[in-house]
Amino acid sequence: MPAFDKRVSDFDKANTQVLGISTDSPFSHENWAKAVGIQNYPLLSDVHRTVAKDYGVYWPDWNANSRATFIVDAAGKIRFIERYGKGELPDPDKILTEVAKLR
Amino acid sequence: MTDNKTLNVGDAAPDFTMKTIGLKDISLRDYRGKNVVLLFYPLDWTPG
Repeated sequence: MPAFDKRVSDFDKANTQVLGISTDSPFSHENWAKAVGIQNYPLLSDVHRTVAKDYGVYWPDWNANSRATFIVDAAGKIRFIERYGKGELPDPDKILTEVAKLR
Repeated sequence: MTDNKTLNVGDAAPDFTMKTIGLKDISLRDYRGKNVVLLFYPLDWTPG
């Protein structure tokens, strides 16, 4: 998500790592990242759909994952979950605000 | 095929290891001590 890529330095300042996850291969990720300008955070490949199922975001219609954001704190605990419907996207400002609450 | 599990705020985040561009492995536990934002998105080439 280019909107988050532009804000990675703000997340860094909040001691926060951003990770993108979909069921695409690393080769697809590489092409997409180059095309849309994602270069500041890693895109991970959930090719076996196990992570999508562990996090409850598996989407059987597309054999993919739905759109959702999880914030995990420094101790490995989930502190925020947001799920998105059609046409909805995560807002970097809102997520930064949520991260700031963790201190 | 396993069913979706349901996670709630306060649960331990399930660990994972996945490959990124360049086929490097990345695990959630690599970032212990930092907050992590997990952005699940449906497919490359979808909006966002």
